[in-house]
Amino acid sequence: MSLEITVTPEAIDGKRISIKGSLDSNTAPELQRQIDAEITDTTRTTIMDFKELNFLSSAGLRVIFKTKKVMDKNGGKFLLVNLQPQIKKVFEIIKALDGMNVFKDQDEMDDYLTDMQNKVIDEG
Amino acid sequence: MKKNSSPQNLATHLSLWIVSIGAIIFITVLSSNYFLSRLLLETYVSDIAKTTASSTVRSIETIFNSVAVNADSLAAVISTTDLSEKQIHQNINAFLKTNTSVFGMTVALEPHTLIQTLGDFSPYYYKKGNEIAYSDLADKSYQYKTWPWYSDAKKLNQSLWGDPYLDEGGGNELMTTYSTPIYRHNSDTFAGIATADIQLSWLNEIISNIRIGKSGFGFIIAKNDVVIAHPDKSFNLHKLDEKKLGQERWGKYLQIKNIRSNIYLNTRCLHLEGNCWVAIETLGNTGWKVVIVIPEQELISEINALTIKISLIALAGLIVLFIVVTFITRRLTSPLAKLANATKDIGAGHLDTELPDATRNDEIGTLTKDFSAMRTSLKTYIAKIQETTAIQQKLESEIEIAKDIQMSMIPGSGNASIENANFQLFARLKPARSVGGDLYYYQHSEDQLHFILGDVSDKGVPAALFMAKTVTLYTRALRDKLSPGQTLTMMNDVLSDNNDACMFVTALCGDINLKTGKIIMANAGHMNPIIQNTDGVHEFSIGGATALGLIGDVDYPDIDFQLNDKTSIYMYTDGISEAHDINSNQYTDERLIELITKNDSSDIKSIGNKIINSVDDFAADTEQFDDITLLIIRYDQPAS
Repeated sequence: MSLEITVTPEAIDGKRISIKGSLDSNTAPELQRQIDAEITDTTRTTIMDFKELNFLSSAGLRVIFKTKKVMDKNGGKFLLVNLQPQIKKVFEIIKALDGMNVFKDQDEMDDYLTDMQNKVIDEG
Repeated sequence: MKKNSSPQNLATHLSLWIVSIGAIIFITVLSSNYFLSRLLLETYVSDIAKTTASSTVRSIETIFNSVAVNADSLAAVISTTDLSEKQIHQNINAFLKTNTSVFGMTVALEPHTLIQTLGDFSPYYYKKGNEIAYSDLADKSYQYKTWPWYSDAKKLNQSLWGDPYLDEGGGNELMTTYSTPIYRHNSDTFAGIATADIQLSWLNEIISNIRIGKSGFGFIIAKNDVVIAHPDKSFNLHKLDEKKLGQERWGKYLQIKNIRSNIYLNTRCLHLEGNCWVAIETLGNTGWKVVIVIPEQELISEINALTIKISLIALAGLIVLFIVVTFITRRLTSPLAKLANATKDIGAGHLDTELPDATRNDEIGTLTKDFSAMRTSLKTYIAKIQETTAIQQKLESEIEIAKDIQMSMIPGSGNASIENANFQLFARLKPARSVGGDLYYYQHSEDQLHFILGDVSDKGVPAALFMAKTVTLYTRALRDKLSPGQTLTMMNDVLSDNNDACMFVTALCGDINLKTGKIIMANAGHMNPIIQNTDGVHEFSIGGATALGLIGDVDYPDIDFQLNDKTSIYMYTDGISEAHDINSNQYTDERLIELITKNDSSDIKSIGNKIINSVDDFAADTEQFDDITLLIIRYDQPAS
């Protein structure tokens, strides 16, 4: 099984990483390489879109956690969107959903992002 | 040598192809040429035959006409003028003298018609040497009125040429006679016949002068089927008949005998093999035929001879072509043969084999140069491969040692089973690669059994290192007598510290009081165990916290419950539940539960092996997807 990785820009220094296929020990290194290249200190938001992700192994989880860690360290946001049930289950088993920004779909995430922007404007 | 057979074959094949195509072209050209030549020749021969026939007829007619004119004029003089007997004699003499072609002449009168007083009258004057001789045909013994030259012309009342005859009195010369009627003055009353004789020996001359090729000839045949002139004199004066000509030809002859127009035909030759072209033309009003015969055989044999000559020249050309092409091809392919041999040697591993000189500027030169370059690259590549292989081998042997070390860190080296009075234990660990990230550990005393089962993220060497750290931490926790929850909390604190790689371990950890069956468990993001007891087989939820290593300061709660007699706990990693078959289907928890349900729970070792075999069978023909670990504990309450 293979993995297709698509990186698209998002508003205000954001990156959306859409992955399709199977994220396992064979494909995880390539995702890690692309993320290392795309996500920099100036990236404010990283969205991982799992709409077409069919399989996720612990090797893939490690890459996701590592990316979250990098974003947390830089004070950026790390969002997961469009988790299919079997993918969500993987997160649930290792009880890693707490502390993650997970959205069931794009609308929910858009609402969240709008809220966040409004807050920033209010505070500013 | 067999070695060289391929390029030689190439040369031979090329030569044979070129020569074959050359031969085909040549044969086509030659046969077309042959048939076109024949066609052309047939047209040419027909022209020749027709023209020869015409010209022969014309030259004969010229002479015949001059003879006929004499007789006609004599007849006219006699019928228009009242002549005495003597004057008639004088006139005959005068006409004979003035015409060299005429041999003899007579005026034969009908008795008592032109001159009332005159009976039979036929004075005949003819040439004898340089003199003119006289003979009286009115002689009773001759009976001139009965001869065809007189009676036929009288009967038909017109001029005519008689059939040829041998003049016995005149030196056996072949002769013919032209007869023309004489009429009484100013009337159409028949009064006699004027004749002119002509010798025919010159016809032989004309006929023998006809020469067409080697065997073409002409002959003349009279109305009465007698051959008058033929180059073969033995034919002369012979009468043709069916016996001589053969039935078919005789039939044809009879058909054309009375046709006056010109005829051209192709028929079987009489005197030769094969067919002859025959042109036939009628000679004036004699009804004689001039026949020109050209045998096909001669012409065809000439074409054949020419064809054979051309064929021989072409054959010689083809042989030369073959030799030249073979020579050139060999010259072109011999470097290829050398190169092929060199390739074989290089293929066998002799990379220093000498290559042919790459001095040529053609494709073969380029090939040789490229080949040389390829050999250099190959050498470099092989050297690199050898180097890499050496490193690889070293690494592999190191990994093998690492595997031994890793397995020595867990009880039973990855394959353990215990049967005690109050518990049974089965443990199995199968890394997907030489080393892996799964782990289990247990330790038991008389009344306590401590155990852990864990799964490090990913697999291979990084996971193995993390696993080693995890096992070490667990043994420290055992030494410090920490509860399962405390154990996981302590391990998480250590593992999450400076864990930039975000490696993590999911783990189930527990203590069983073997006397009472009381069990305390803690869960760090691992799949729930399966419990088998008298109620059946089902997943048993152990609430806990996130996997070890992800975030610090996590509190893992101790969860305690009671194990009844003959209760088994199945703990496993996702290498079992997510094992893939060839169609990427997963083994699944459900399949595992079904397998456990079907089997007797009393022999843990047997069930454990069945599960492992079942997963192996399921994933047969695929690479092992992940590390596989199974830990089964069955509690047997001691008799109180």
